[in-house]
Amino acid sequence: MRFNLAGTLTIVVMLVLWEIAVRGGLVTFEYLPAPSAILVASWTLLRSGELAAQTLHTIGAVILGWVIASALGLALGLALGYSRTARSWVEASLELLRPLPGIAFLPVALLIFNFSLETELAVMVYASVWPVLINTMGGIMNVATRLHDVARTLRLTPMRTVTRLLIPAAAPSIIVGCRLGLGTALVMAIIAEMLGNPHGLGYAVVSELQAMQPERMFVYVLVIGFLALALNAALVAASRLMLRNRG
Amino acid sequence: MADPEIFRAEGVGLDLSLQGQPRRILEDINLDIKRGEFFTIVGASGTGKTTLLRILGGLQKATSGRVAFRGQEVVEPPEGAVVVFQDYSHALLQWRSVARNVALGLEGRLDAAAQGERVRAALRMVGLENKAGDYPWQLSGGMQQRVQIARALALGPKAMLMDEPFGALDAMTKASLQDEVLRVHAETGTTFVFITHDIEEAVYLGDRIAVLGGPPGRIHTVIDVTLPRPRNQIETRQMPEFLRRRLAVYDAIRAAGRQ
Repeated sequence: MRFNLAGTLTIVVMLVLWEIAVRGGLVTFEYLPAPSAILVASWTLLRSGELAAQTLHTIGAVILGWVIASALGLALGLALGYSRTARSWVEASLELLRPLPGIAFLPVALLIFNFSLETELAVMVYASVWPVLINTMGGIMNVATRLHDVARTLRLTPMRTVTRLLIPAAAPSIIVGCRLGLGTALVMAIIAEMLGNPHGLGYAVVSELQAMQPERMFVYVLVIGFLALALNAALVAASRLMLRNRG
Repeated sequence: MADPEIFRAEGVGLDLSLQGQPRRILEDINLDIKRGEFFTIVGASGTGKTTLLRILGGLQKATSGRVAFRGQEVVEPPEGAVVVFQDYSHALLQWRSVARNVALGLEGRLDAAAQGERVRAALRMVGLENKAGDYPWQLSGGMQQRVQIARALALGPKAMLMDEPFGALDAMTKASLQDEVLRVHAETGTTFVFITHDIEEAVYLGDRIAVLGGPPGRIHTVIDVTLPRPRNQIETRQMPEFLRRRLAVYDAIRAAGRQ
């Protein structure tokens, strides 16, 4: 990765302007803190260990939910991509369920799991299974018919055809699905923490808001942003590694 | 040595329904391909050459007649007969190295040491022993097609079914691959069934040439080629017999088209 001087300067200038605007009284919103105040608040939260605890909860929940969603999406996507029969039975239900926004299920999850990690996971998994499922199914269905011929003429077993041929051939599209799923998982985790599970960064944002602590609230909002960046960067690096030998 | 013929097709036909319209693709194909023979099949496009090869290789079911490979009826790709496809870039696994592509059909059947040995031997046969670690997309078209041939050879097949394997290659690469295939044929005694639309290629390679006409595809004639082996790109192609056979095949294709 290379350092982008111009882009960094833009950010610095914006922060300085923000600071000046708040301090000089140009902006009169009562609760808009200056960047320096946010910095001080982040130091306080860091020292108390609160920031780390909330961040770890959210990271743990996102990764757990994403792993479950990816495994589920991969299994369903494989079955549906491979078997025309499975598609004809299930496709209509999928088309019906897919457009439903995952967050609409939060009340249902709350009824079943109460205010808990399970509620958070249920909402995350429901929402982020779709991109994995759809991309896996599409990837498997789009494997060139020639590769099916190759599997047959070399007399590969069905199991080997799936694991050695279809999954690797569909890997680029499966990985795209997993990346989209991770982004969705983070968004859903934050929302679920705001509304359904009193833990983590989402919960912290809301409780600082209610405590009239805008500096602290901004700290959590920024951490959520950095978390999204970091998770995506990690996944981009991982997928480069997995697809490194392809032309 | 019970049957001298390795493939026998009796009254093979194929009727398909394309967009609701019944279409006859092949009609009453009768063939005996002898063990160790280099059998070429030529015909204009639309005469069902590829379909016939797919039926011989068990990739497609005939709707009438029967095909036997070494005395057994073909219902799925039989052990010992491998198809090599024209579009090598789609037929190779682009994410696997050359050696791992060649090993594909051996995995789960042989231990690692035996696999390695077979892969090396197959790559040596097509002159790619120093490309084992490369990826297909790093190779020229001719080399990629060699990889596909090596992958089939690694299985130690009794019959190689080749579907216009050199159709997408330039003339010079094509000539060197033709000689490669003839050398493999001489060294291994494998039966080759080789589809081409190139008349000179059919004569240069073949012991016998089946000329297809149609549609629907049917065998118009089978022509014997008595050219001596080993064949040579310059000398063989200048022999009067070569020129006579080339003319005979050309006339047969024209006659088949007029029927």
